[in-house]
Amino acid sequence: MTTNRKVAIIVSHGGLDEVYPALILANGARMEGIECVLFFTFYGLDAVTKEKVDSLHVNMVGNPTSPVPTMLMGLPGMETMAAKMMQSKMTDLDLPNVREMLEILDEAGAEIYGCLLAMDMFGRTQDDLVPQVKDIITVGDFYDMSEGAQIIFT
Amino acid sequence: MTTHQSTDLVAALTLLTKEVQTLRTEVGELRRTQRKGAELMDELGPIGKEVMDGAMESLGALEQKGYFNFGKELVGVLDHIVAGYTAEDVKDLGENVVTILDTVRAVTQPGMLVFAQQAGEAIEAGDQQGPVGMWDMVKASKDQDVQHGMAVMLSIVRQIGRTARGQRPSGRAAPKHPKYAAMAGRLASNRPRRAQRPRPAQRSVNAPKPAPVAVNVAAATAAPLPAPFDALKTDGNGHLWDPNDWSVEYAQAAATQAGVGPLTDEHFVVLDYARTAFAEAKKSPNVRALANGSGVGTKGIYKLFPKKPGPTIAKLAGIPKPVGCI
Repeated sequence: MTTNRKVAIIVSHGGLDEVYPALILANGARMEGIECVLFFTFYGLDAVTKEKVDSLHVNMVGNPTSPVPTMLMGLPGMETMAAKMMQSKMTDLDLPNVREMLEILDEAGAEIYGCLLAMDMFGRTQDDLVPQVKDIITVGDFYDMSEGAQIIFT
Repeated sequence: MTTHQSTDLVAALTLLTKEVQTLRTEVGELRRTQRKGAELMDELGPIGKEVMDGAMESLGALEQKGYFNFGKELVGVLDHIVAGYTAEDVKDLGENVVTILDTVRAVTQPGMLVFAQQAGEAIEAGDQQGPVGMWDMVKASKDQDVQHGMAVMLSIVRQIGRTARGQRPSGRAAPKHPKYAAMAGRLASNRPRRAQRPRPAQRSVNAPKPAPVAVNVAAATAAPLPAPFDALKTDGNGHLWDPNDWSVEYAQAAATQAGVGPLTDEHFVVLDYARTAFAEAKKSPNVRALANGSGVGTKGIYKLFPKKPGPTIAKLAGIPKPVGCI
């Protein structure tokens, strides 16, 4: 078992339903002994921002699989409610929340990075991010790190 | 001179007499024929009268039915037709008579006649309906019958347009405009070139094949364990079939084979917890449960079992491979 597989996962969206798959993919990679790099950019950065990580929302507007009509989902509070419902469902399934997932990933040896450009754009510093974020890197750095890796964009 | 003249006269008279005789014979013949004809007429007369009376009666009946008036009118119609059409038109008619007959035959098919009748009924019924606005038309366009009708109308309009462009209804004629003709020519000359283009399958024959991605999940478990553990029954993944077959020696042998190295007490803390958890839940614990339950933590788990912690711990603990994504 000496295959040196590696995955590099780019997280570019900040919805609960958009962040979870990336985190689960990353965790699954580590459990399978696959090296893993996570790169959070644009709205994905919210998932590693201290103030936002526990209040990620689910975007149900314009989501064709939503059971509630789009017009209703646009009403104030609907998004929060949907996020709450999804979070409670995940807790029932014994799924850790996003903050916990990041801790697990960090301990499992996955490397978490933030995107420099996005940080500048949103006016955030590394102090605003969760401690699991190893560094703020550029896209060039990301490519250096993901050499020989399979890159997954979410 | 006189003698000569008289001789001529005699000859002429003789000729005349001969002619007269022939004439008489012919006249006699004629009279005989005439007499025969008169006799025939006498005989035929009554029969003929009967026939004529019958015919007149029939004609009278026809007259009563209006045939002659119809005929008179028909003559009028014919007059109009002849006046209204030139000789050229008639010539065209002769050329297209087969098409016209085909059309007439098609129109008089039972289905067509039923359709015409229904259309007539619909038009009659339409008189009773009020006027319809744009919005009502849009609404009506959702009706399936209306949609079918629109499809039929569209196909008719398309056909008319095609005919108007001078194309045969049953196929595309060559474009008449020189520009289009040139375009069509270019297209036609392009076609074979396109066919000659090499296909991907042919191209890939000489191309180097991509190296197969090594995804061999069972690689670590493929090699048999040293005796006596190779005799133990295992499942498809190489995990012990019966957790009761487990022993510390087995765990050590399996660890060596999995590349974990000699097991320490720390390892056994995790393995013992895994076995206890399995015995309780009848389900192999996942990495998260192992990390939290054994107290080693996620970091510790990955440190102790760097490669594939979940399956490795389960194998070394003699329990089935854990199922789940976390």
